[in-house]
Order: sequence, then structure tokens, then C-alpha cells
Amino acid sequence: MDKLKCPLGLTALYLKYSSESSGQHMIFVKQHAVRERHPDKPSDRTLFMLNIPPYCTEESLKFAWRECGAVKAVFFHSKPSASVPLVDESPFFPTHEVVKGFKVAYVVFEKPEGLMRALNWNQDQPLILSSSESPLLCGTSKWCTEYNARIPDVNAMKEDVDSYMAAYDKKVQKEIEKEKAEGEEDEDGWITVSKRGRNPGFARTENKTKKILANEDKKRSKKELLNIYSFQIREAKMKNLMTLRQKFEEDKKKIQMLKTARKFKPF
Amino acid sequence: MSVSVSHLRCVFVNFELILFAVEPKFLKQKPVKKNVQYESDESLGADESEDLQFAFNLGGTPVENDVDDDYIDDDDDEHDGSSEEDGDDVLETLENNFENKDTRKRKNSENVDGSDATSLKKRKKSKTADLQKPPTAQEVARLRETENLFHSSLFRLQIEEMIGEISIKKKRISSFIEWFSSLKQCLSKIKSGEVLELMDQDWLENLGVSIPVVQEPFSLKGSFNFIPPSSISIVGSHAIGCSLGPHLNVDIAIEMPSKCFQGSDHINHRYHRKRALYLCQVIAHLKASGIISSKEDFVPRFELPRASNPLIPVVVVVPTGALQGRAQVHLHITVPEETFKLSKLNPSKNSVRSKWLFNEKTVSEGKDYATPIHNASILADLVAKQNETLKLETLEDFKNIKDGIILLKVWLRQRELDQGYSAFGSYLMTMLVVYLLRSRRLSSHMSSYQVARTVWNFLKESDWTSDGGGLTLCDKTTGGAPSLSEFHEHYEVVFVDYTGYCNLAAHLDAISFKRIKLESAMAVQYLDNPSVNSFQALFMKTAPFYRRFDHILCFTNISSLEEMNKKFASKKEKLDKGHHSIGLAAYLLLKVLQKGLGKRVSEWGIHIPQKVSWQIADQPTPSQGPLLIGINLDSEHAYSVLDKGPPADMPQAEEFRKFWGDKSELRRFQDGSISEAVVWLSEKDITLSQRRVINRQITEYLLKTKLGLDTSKCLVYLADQLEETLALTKCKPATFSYGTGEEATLAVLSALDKLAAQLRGLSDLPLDISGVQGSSPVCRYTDVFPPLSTDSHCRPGRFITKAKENCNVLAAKAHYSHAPDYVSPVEVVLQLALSGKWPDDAQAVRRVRTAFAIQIAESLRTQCGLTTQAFPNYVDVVKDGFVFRLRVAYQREPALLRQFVMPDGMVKIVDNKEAQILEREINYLPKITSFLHGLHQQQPAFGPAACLAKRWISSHMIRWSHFPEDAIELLVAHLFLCPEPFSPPAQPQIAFLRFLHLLSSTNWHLEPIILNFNNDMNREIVQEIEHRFTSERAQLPALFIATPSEHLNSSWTKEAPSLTILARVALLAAESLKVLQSCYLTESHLETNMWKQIFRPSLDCYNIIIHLNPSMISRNSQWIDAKVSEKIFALNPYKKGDNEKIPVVGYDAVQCYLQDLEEAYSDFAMFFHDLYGGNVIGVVWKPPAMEPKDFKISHMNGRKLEVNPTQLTLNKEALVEDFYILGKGLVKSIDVKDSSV
Repeated sequence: MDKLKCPLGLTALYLKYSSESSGQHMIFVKQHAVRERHPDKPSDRTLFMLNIPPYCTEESLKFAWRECGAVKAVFFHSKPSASVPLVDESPFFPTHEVVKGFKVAYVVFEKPEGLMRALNWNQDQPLILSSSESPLLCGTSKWCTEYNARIPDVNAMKEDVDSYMAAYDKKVQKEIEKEKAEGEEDEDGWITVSKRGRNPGFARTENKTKKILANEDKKRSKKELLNIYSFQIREAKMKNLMTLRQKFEEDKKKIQMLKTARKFKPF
Repeated sequence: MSVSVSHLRCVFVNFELILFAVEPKFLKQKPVKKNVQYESDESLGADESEDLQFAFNLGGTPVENDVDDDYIDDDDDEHDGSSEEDGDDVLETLENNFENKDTRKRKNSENVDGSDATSLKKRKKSKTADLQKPPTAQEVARLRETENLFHSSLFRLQIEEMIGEISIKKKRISSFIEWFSSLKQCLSKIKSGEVLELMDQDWLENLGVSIPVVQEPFSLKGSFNFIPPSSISIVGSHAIGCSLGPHLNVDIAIEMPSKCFQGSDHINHRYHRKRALYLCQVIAHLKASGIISSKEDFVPRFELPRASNPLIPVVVVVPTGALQGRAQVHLHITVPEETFKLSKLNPSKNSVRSKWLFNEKTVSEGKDYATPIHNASILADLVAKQNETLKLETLEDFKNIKDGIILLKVWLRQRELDQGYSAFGSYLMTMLVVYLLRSRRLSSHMSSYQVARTVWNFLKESDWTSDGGGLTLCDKTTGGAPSLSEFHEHYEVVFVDYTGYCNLAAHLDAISFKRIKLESAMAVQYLDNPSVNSFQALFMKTAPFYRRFDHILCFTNISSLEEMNKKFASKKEKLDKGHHSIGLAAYLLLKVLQKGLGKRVSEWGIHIPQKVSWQIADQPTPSQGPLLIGINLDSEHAYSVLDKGPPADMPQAEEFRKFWGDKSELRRFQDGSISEAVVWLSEKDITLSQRRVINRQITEYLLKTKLGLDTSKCLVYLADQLEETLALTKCKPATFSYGTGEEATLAVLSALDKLAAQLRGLSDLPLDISGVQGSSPVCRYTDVFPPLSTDSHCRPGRFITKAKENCNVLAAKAHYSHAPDYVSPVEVVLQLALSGKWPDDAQAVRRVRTAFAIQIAESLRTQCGLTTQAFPNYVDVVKDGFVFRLRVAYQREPALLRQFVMPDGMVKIVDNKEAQILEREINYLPKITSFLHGLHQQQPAFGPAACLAKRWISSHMIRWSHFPEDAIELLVAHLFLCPEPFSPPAQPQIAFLRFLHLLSSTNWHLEPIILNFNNDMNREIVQEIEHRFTSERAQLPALFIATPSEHLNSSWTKEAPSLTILARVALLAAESLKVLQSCYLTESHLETNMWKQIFRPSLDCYNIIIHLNPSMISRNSQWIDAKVSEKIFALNPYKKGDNEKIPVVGYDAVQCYLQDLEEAYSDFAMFFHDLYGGNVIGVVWKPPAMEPKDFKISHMNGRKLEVNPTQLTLNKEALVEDFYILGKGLVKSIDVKDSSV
């Protein structure tokens, strides 16, 4: 088989679920090289892989590259990215979504040689993700395992919650104290107005701001005098007529729409 | 699923076209842009609407090429028509503003004329100027008129549009007049024939026509000779300009000269036979003349227009030339009034001698029985001319009145009331308008709307069936005309004509008149109700018989009915109605049924769907089945298992006993009374679905004992045939009969009630639980298969499950051999007492909720002894053998999730998916559940109807992610809340038929569904919704549903259904409805399989079929074609065991698989599956994904590189392999069907 030439400096390789699988994915790899450097993705040891099938896991990729040398880490992203994915703080309360569907992977080898070997991988030899000694769970066994894993250890969960809340309470307490401190007069005699304190200010939300602006408008319009000049009266009447006509036009439009939809043929 | 239905196959082929093959092509074509003018501003919106237009064209409405022309025409009209508005203030403004400004007005009207010629573009520019121009005199006049004479301006516009649509083109009328003169000429040329004996009919054979009446008995004295007609005239609706277009339907009266008759010819059908022979002559001559079409579709036929009376046939011909296919002419025979003395045909007189009819040797003593119906059939021909003249004189040229008649006729036609047996024909309606005009209840100044409204009001109030309620057009008091009470004695319904001798409503029976009354009352109600779109309900929506009634008794075997007539009709009835066997049968059946079913029925209807017509050379076939009797259930009485009769010591008791025979028994009631009673079923173990069809049992009993009918052969009782699809096949509950699952739902709800009480009583929680609301479908009666209580799955694990601390988990065996039965959790939302101590951060709130969950689980375990397990987001608890999933709700949480602090410290609200999901879970779903629960309490057919609808949609492999189940439920609820033009259904099956019709006929782009539960939304809100719907249509979902809890965004349907799915469902619904309609209206329902076939999908349209391993499907037993197990095992009643575990709950391998597939491959394909036990998954490639792509990083997923040219194509082999890998253990095999792509 001739070597497939790829544009964009990529190399095409084949990837199979297991050695018995018939269909194979074509994946594209190259050395990871971007301007923004990230310490966890060193350019000389990181392989950038595209079109990784959805069921691929960290372990299975490590297994697939085992012949090139030990793999230090694998990062999955839905799109190419220079940074590393964020990690959840707690096992019970995931805040980051797991990458689903086809994805890109960054494989960080222990040694630069590993990367070199990977880049010179023989195209005719597909990568294998799963074997009997290192099975990649799929199908019913995966779902069953997931179901079983979903039942939490209540005590651990409780501890997790308690520690989070303790930290949260501390944080809130600190903030309150900080605000209180700001509420005091500083050297130059300035006071920062906050929600708390003796003379609390309003909360800084979008809604509040809008409300205040609307109120201002209202105040200003109250000062304006209406129905004084004849042109104002005329215009007001005209406006009234216009809205009525507009409504009638809308009715007609409705009819027009119904008509185009052939809504007036009873049979 | 090898069974596939040919009917549905074509749907799928179409579907494939829409979905995938045609869509991209279509977008390239850029169809008529103009008819989507209302959103031409938004490019995105325009595309979408085109899509819809396209989808709906495929959905059945014909695509017409002249849309363009239409549009331009209309636009001109629009400009001519001046604006108008309802409401006082409008007029005031207009008048105040422009008094004494005639000059200005004139100027402006010139402007208007001038601007007619201007182009569209220019007009757009001057749009604001148009709105500001002063009103013209015409405009003001029209406005005032609308205000005074019409319901609303929209209503008026709609009426005008509709009348325009059904009016007949002038061109057609003038070519008809030409044809008519040639017809006249042709008929006048016929030569008189020789005098022949009536029984000598050999000459007919030479003409190629057979006599269109049944001659029974054949022997009849008398002679017949043909004399050319004395006059030929156009009569009926065309003569007064009230016929319904767009096809021309004309009645022509051919007057038979009196010389054809002898003085006593009205006796013994002699008149009718002569009339028939005369008709034969006429038609034979016309056939030879060549002015009527002899093409296969238009050959002349005999029909029975007047209440299907077989004695008075007419011939229907189609003119040749330009009118062929566009006009139909009915040739009636009339006779001059002086032919017979009218008083000879008084209702009390006899005109059919029993000696002749029964061939009796001895003449019975005294007078023969009166034959009022027979007499009326002759009288109608005699008095036709006089009434016709009266009609023409009274109606003159009153355009409005005539438009009013047209409206009333459309109304009748939409309800199938104007044709067939016992019809309230358009003739009768016109005569009623004449009556009201003459009695000054209508005036010539009234608008068409007012005419219709007055007639409905009059019909609603009047009662023509009782003495004193009948009407008469006759104002002469002298002469031998019979009195009204004499009419009432002999006819059920009385409306006497101008001469005073003929009852125009002779053929009408009391129940048909009652139905007209009810329909009229409903019409007035629609007009008075501002929230009903009354125009649509009154004139546009069809209300065919088979979708009208809860139960329909379908009598198929006409010969057995004739047998019954022979045995059970009295001599009098035979004399009068014997010639009309199906009519006589209907009369006899109704007499018994009305008495037997009594209060159980709120409304009756009778209908013969087959139009009786036959070719002129054929023998007459006046009696064609089936005969349908429809009943609507009375919610108060229809479901009781017992009919209470009079007290035993009353004289009526004897009669009651006599009627019911052995069935009647003496019973002591709880209030101490001792009465006669009939018991149909024992209270014990009777299901709600059985209760709904108790009437069937009564009917069968009555027909058998009273009329000797073998119901298994001649009657199909259409009521609950489809409910079979909701039955259980594998097991049965421990403590009740299953039926359609309503009892199972009630069991869940009662367990929930008990749990709710326990939850509220928990003592050591930081905040009390204040509200417990269910949010699963089962809590609103719409779970197709509600969970069943049993203790077997709560036992500690074995075989496929293992026991963990509180729960069972899946054991290794479940990986490959066998899936556990599906146990669905019942979702419950818990509201806590108010507190100000909740944190202000979404993540912290989440932790606090979990802390509550842990605490609630603990408390329920220790205080109530229940088995529980806390999860991060919920608590699972076993109560009475059901698993409830309790979620703690904090109402502010969605708002917190939406808050984002900007860098400058400003808090901004940003909507996001997480917040929406949470809001739906804790807010909308519980609310909608309580609404629907309330609806079911009022309309107990709602639950099972929604189940049928859901089962049907799912059975066509449409998943809830394509068409959300809540949306389906809400659509079904719509049928109950806005049943117009019907009354709310009381039988689930009929609701399901209406659901199919709703899906197949509604243009979702134009019609929002507004569900006003308990009238929670006032008029302003509804108007706001409507306004938003029209003005922002492009941004709103394809299917728009507004509910009181959430009325502006239709969050139910935001994600799905898409246009393609809606179009597909519409096609499927139309096909299914066709199948069901044929089940209702023809005799094919005798095949039992007919019903189920609409629930079987066809697999032809899928590119790939994934076959699943049946033993791994948790809901295998719910499959539509699941075998009913030979040994249905009874579930153990629930008893809390010592070592109880929460069963494996909510685990369905197929759903896991589909979720995996969807997450991974939704860019490339769509996946279809029947949730209820479907054993295949259908996959369709998405066409955009199939196209080759440039070599770019964003295109690489799932594709492979092709050299020459260098581009990416979909790596299908690998994807199919992936489907296999992802479904390891579940997938049995994969069929790749299309080798082409």
C-alpha cells in the first residue's frame, strides 16, 4: 500500500477497536507545536491526534502506543486546544463536561523518543485499542459498570459536602468582613457603599440598573407637557389611528397567510 | 419485525424523500418567496418557513403553480379594500378628526385610485404614509357596518374570503345556461309513446335502462304512456344563487304532465313506478342525444337524494363540453299540483293498501293504516312548484340573506348533516330561512353573519317535535288542509309547506332534529365565546360522523336487518316504510336502544356513509350498508354497572320487568329503597376500560332479546378496539385487573399520597417539607405502562443482580445473558419551607440540596422504616413496591445558575442550558403535571387517550428526543380543552382518532396551540400570545404550545419536534387515519388485524437496521407484537421483606445505547427506535454528512482521506463497526441496506 500523503503536515494512520474488527478509522497525527506553550504539553514529547473515535479512553490510547514507549498523560478535547482540560474538584459534583463524540487527543510520552517512534509508525499496521489483557469496556458491560458506579458511598459524599460547605462559609465570612472593612472610612475619608452595613447600597445587577434607567426616563417624561399645542393633539390622534390601522393590517395579513395556505376552502 | 404494511410503506418512501434526499435540493430551488412575505426580513426565518411550506405541501395539500398570480391578485384586492376596525373609539377618532374635511377626503380617494397602479416596491416605501392617510367615507361606512352587523372584522374578512372561494365562476354559469337550452330543446323533441301496461316493461331493455325502483310486489294494474314534459326549469339552490361551489351542482325539475296519471294513481306505489318509468325514458333519450357525457367517470347514474328514499330516485348527469367534470346536473321529476287532490294525501290517509302489499286474500275490516311518510313522498313532488315560487319571491335579490344561506349550508355540509338518511337538507334550511323572513324574524337588512346566527338561535330554541312546536309556511286557514296537531300525530318532526298539505320534514326523525338543535346550540356558544376561533370551528373544520361520537354501532349485515324488519315491524310500519328497509331498520333499532340505554346516552346520531348510486343499466341497490348509529356517553350515568328501575310497588315496575325480562331483579339499595334493577357487571374487579363499554353489553343484550339479531354477525361495536395495544402480555398485577393501566396509575398515586404524608411528618429536618409534587407521566395518568407493585424485584440480588448496602446492582450476568425487567422510577419534587439561609451561590446550593437528600434518606429510613438511598441529586425510596425518586427543589436555583458576575462587578443574567433543564424539572413539569392531573379528573378519557397517542408515535420509532412526550400529552390535552367542532371525547379511541386528524391536518406554522387550563390566562394574555406568535413566528419553535405556567416561549417544544419530524408524523397520521376510517366506514374491520397495523412500522426507509438481542431488551414484553405468554404469571403482592433492597431502577440498556449513539454520531445520522419493546434501531444518514468535504481539521471527524481529489469522505464501514462496538452484548446484527452510498 502506498503511503497516503496528507496536507497540513499530518500523517494518516489506521485505528481499530480490536485486531478482529473489520472497519477501521483513519486518524491523523502530528507533533504538537503551537505558539502558546503549556508546561503539561511539551512540544517535543506530545503527539497531536485527530479523529479519535468516541469510545476511546486514556488507557486504551496508552495501550495503543505501548510499543512506542511509556505514555505519561493523555488529554482529550473536542477541539484542538493549547491548554489542558480542567479537572473536577469532587467526584460527586462534576462541573466540567466529559468530551463526547469524536475528539482530539494529546498524547504526552515520557521520552522524546516515544514521540519520534509514533511519528514514524508504519501506516500498514493499524493501532489496536483493546485486547483481552487490556479490554476497553463497551456496550452492556460498560453500562452495567456505570450503573453500579453511580450509587455513591453516602459517607464519603457527606464528607465531601461538609468540607465544601465549611470552605464556602469561610469564604463568605471573609467577604463580609472585607466589605465591612471597606465600609469604614479610609485615610482620605472615602466610604465604599456595599449591600451590607448601616446605609446599604443597591445590588449591582443588570435588572436593577435597567429599572433605575427606566425610572429616570419616566421622571423626565413627567416633566414634559402634553396636549398643549395643536400639533401634539393632532399627532396623538394620528398615532391612535395608525395603531388601529396597523392592527387591521395585521388582521389582513393573517387572512393573507391563511389564504396562501388554502385555508378558505371548506371542502 | 418482518411484518410491514403496504399502506405505510409509501409513507416511508415519501419520508425518506423529505428527510434526506430532497431537502438540500429544495433549498437550492428557492421556491416562491412571495408567499412568505411576513418574514422576508430575517433570512434565517425565511429559510425555515420555506422548509415548512415544503414539508406541508408533501403532507397532503396540493402544490399549486398559480401561487404567484394569486398573490399578486390578492395584493391588489388588499389595496382596494379599505381598512376597518371594531370598537367604538375607532369611529370616534375617525369622525372627530375628519369632520368637515370633504375636500381633503376627495383628494385622497383620488390618490388611492392612482396608487393602484404603483408597483409593490413603491408601496412599501409609502407604507407609513398609507397608515396616516385620512379615512374615506367608504371606510367609515364599512367600519360602522362591521361594528353593527358582524362579530369582528377578522370574522367578516374570513366570511368574505370563504364565500369567494366557494362561489361559482361566471364563465361556468353562462356555459351552463347554454347547455340548459340545448337540454330543453332535446327533451321537447321526444315523441309521445304509446299506452302500455305498467307491468309490460320489455321496452326498457331496448333503451338499455333498468327501472330504478324495486318493484315489490311486481304485479300492479295501470297503464303508462310517455308524454313530453310540460315544463323544464332550474330549481333548488342554483336557481336562487346559493349553491356551493367550486363545482356546479344544478337541480333541474322536469314536470311530468298530469295527463300521464289517472285519478287514483297515488295508491300502491303506482305514482312512483310511473315516475321511474318516465325518468327512464328521459335518460334514455338524453343518452342518445349526446349532450350528456358518457365517459367512464361521468356516466349517468341514479341516486337517492331525498333522505335516501328508494321510491324517489333522480338521475345525475354530467354535461359534455366545457362543463365536463366541473358540473353535475340532477334531474328531478315533479308533477303539477292539480294532478291529485292534495287532501287525498293527508297524513291520516292510506295510500298503500295492505291487500296489495301483503297479497292478502281477505280484505280486512275497516280502514287501512295511515301512511304519512309515503304520502309525503308524493306530496313533495306535487307542491314543489308552489314552494319554489314562494322561495324565489321571498328571497328576491337579498344578497346578504343568500350569503347567510350559504354559510348555513357550509355548516351543515361540514357536519355531514345535509345528505343521506334523515338529513336536514339544504332545501329544508332554505325553507326555514324563508319562514323566518316571512315571520319577520329575519330582515333583508341583516348581514350574512346575523342571518346564520338568528337561524341557529331559532333552531336552538324551537322544538318541531312536540305539538305546538311545529312550523307552517301556510297562512291560509280555509280549505281541507290538516291541522298542525294532525301532522304531529303522524310525523316525528313537523314543518308544513306553503300549501298546508305537505310536511317538508317528514323524513326527519326526532333524534336527527335533536342533533341539529344541539349543533345549533354549540354554534351559538362558539360565537359567544371569545377564546374560540369560531370561524374555523363553524365553517372550516370538518366534523365527520366517525370522529363525532364516542361509540359507534356499525351494522354491516343488511340482510339480517331486513330479516329483523320482517319479524318485528308492525303492519303499519311495513305499509308506510317497508319500501325503505334500512330506514325501517334504523327506526326499529333506535326505538329499542333509546328505551334501553336511556340516560346513559347524551346524544344520538344516525348515518349511512355509503352514497347510494348506481349506473342506469344496473338493477337498483337502494340498501347498502353499513348503517351507523353513534352515541355520546353521559358522564353521569354511562359508567354505572347497574340500571335502577322504579320501586317494586309502583305500577311502572311491571313495565320495567316486562322490558328487561329475566335480567330484571329486585334489589335493596343503600338508602333503604327496594327497586327493580338490572345489573350488568359485578363491581368487583371491573376495570375503568370495561366500565366505558358497558353500553356494548346492554346493546348486545337488547338486540338479541328484543330484535332477534345475532350481534356477533351483524354488529361491530366500535369503541375500544385500539385499547388492546395498552394491555399487558406477560404478567398481571396482584390486587386488581389491569385493563388499560388506569388502575395501576391509581395504585401509584395512592402510594405517593401515603409517602407524601410521611414526608411532611418527618421531624428532624432543618426545613420542613411543604410540598410533594409528582412529575412523572404516571402522575398525570399518561404513562403507557405504569409501574407495577411487587416485592420480587426488591429482594436482595440473585441471578442477574447483586446486593449492595441499600441497593441491588447489576451482576456480571446482566452484561451478556439477560436484562432485568424495567423498573421506572416515579419522579417527585419536594418543596421545602421558606428560608433566608440558602447560600447565594449555585454550587453551594447544590451541596446543600445533597445534604438535604442525605438527611431525608436517613430520616425516612429511621422514622418510617423505608428502604432509601441518597444520591447527589436525589433520593430513591421504595414505598409499597414502587420506587420514588425524590428531588429537593430550591426555586431560586435556576436564577442563580443564570447569574454571572462581570469583571466590573455587575451581575448579568445569561440564560443557559443547565438552568433551563433545572427549571423544567422543578418548576414546569410539576405544574403541567398538576394541570393534566386536573384535566383527567374532569375528563377521564384523557389519560388513556394520551397513552394511545404516545404508544402510536413511539411505535413508528419516533423517540421522545424527536417528539417530546410532554408535547404529545399537551396536544392530546388540547383535544379535550378545545374540542371544537365536537364535544369533549369520553372514549379514548375517538380522542385518538381526533389526535391523528389534528396531526395530519394542522399547519403548525400558522396555528399556535394555546392551552388555557382552568381559564388561568385572561383575554389579554391570550392576545399577547397570539400577537407574539404572528409577529415573531420565525424565532419560535416549529410546534408552538402555550400553557399558563409558561406562555411565551413554548419551552416544551424548543428542541424538538423539528419540521421534518412534524411532516413525517403528519404523513403517518394521515395514512393511519385512512386505515382507521376504512375500519369505521366499510366492512373491513371484521379482520381483527386491521386495528393493530397502524402500530407497526415499516423498515424500508432506513439505511441501516440494527437488530437487538431480545433478551437484553428490558421492555421486551411491551412490544406491540409481543406474544401473549401462555402462562401469564401473577405478580406477588408487595410485602416489605427483612432485607429489602432498592431494585435496579431506570436501567434500560437500549436507552443507554441510543444515548451513546446520539452523543457520538448525531452529526452523521439519526437513530429511530420504539421505546416500548422495539427490537430494532433504524439509522438514517444525514445527507449533509454524506457529501465529500475539503481537507480541514473541522471536517475530519468520522471521515477518511481520499486522494485525487484530496478530500474527506464519510468512513461508513468504520462507523458501522463503531455501532457494533458501542452496542457490544446488545446488538445481534446490523443490516446495511444501501450499497449505493
